[in-house]
Amino acid sequence: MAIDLHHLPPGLVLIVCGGLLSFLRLRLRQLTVALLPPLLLVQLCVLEPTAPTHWLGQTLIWLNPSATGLLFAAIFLIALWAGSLFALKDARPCELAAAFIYAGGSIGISLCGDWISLFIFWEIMALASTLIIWNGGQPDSQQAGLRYLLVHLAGGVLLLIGIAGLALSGNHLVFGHLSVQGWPYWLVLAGILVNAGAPPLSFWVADAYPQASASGMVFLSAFTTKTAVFVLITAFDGEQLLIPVGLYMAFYGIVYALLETDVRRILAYSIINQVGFMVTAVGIGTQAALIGATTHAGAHIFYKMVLLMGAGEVLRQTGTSRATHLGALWRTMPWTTACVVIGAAASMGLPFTSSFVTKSLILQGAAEQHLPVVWILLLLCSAAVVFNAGIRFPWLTFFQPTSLNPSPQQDISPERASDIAGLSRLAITAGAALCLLVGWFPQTLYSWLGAHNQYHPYVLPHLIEQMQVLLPATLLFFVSLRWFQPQPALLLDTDWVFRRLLYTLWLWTGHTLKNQVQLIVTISSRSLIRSFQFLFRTHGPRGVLARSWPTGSLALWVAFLLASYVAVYNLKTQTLWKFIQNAF
Amino acid sequence: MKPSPALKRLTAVLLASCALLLIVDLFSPPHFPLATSHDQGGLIGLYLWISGGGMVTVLLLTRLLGFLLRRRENYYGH
Repeated sequence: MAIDLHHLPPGLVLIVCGGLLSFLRLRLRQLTVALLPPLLLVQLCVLEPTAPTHWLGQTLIWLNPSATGLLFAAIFLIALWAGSLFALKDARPCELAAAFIYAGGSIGISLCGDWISLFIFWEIMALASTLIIWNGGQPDSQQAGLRYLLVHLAGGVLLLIGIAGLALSGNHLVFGHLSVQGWPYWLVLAGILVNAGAPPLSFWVADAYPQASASGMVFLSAFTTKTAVFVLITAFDGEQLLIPVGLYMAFYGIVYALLETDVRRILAYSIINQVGFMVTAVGIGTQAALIGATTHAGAHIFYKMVLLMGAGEVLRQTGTSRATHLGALWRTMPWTTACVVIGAAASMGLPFTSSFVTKSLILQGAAEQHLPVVWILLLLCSAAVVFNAGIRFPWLTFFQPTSLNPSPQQDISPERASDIAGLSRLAITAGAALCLLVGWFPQTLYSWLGAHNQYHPYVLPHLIEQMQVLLPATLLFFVSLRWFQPQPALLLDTDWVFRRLLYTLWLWTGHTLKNQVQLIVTISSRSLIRSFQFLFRTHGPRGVLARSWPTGSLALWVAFLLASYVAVYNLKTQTLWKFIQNAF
Repeated sequence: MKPSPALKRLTAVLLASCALLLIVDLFSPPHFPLATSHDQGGLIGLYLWISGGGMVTVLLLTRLLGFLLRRRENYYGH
């Protein structure tokens, strides 16, 4: 049977292969991991839309690739490839399998043509990514994974109700720009925004991602939020609500990353910060902004992959990701440091790196739409990247003098760490090279999206202006180092509502209910006992009504009863009354 | 924490670079980053002022929020 490569959905291939991966022998598994993503990358070049299939009365279009979708799919495949090579060193087979299924879900979404297929892939992603977190082996992996799953299932429910609403109101379910208004529109948007890490549920990114393994977080950073960005670009471009939402995310990421101590959590907050840029760009909705959002999503995947591989290797070598126990690793891990520095430069948008050519397009979009406040705030956020992934992360991990560590542990010795090697080194180097390649050849990326030679990032004023943005922020970083020394602490977030407020209320309600029930039971049982005691007192063997009486007393009582009866009878018939009247 | 001599030198270099950028900006034509059809000239060192001034505000705000948001590590019980 010949396989039709033109119509074979790569997402489904990855999901099926991912399902089989944990059952394969080690060599075969390594071979699959190393060869499948590049083969699928080649297959992307020959993909054609598939004919619709029918399922449960609905029309499913598994493949309907757009230029944006193909670009996202290609970037996802590269991320899966590099992440898998990095993971081969120590990842469990189950984690690798989950990563393939997870990537399959993301790629399925970027290439599918209807909302129902999108929802199926969406839920596959949620389940597979939860498995990655549960395989993390960190102290809080199980609990954090459960919280992550609950948030994503809630988001999935919102999305499903929205899609059902679209179908019920007679809309076709072809995946594209949503022009209908009403509650289904808002529910679909809310469901997508949950996955993008938008408020009020932004906490899940920093709560769950750092609980994954060294390689698990590399996979997690690449797919969920970027898939949400892809769906926003396709279906909600120009939605004005996304501008304040995106700006909130950008600032949220800056503030929390500055207060954070764990370097992997700093990078998790940095993800929200950068996704905030993309969400704002989708809200702006001009061609420049949308191309900026698409290319910046790709650039972000590449440099965040490098930074997380660096942080993951540090975790492997030292057993910790706490900045209070790290520092001066550049001596023992020079290759990792060099790659991380390139990734960090790309995150800041230093000239000749990826973000320099992508982030400026988003700013350009804001200026074109005459949104000066948005433009200023985005510019400020660009500068503030210095304070999370840009300089703070490399500084705390690789350059901070160890003498500054407030609580060094005896069992963790940065001096004993060895540099990244083997396939992990290949993966991080490839990531760093991509950060530079995108920066050096931006026109290739632009032309993929139909904007060849429209934008020219390498002009002298742009170079000067970008340096004007980054240099004062870098200066302020070093001046304010004392203010933001890492200190062991937990940062309150909106999850406080679920984890503390609602939990306390639940406990209080349970406690109060228990007390009330106990009180009712006590009062009832006491009353019952007293009733029985009363009955026993009166009717028991020694009770007033049950004990033996003398015969005389009995006769007296009988006479009294008869007299009473006669009296009552006469009163009733008024005979006695007439007798009294006659007598007197 | 006392700044080391290396850190002091780095700070001085960064400060000098900022001053140099301002001077360069005096002589560069007003120009919007990417699309040549737009001109966004005006204040010399506009980006520098936004970045510097904005970051000072963000840092002060974050410092304040730090007092409100920080809790002990086992706040949620584990």
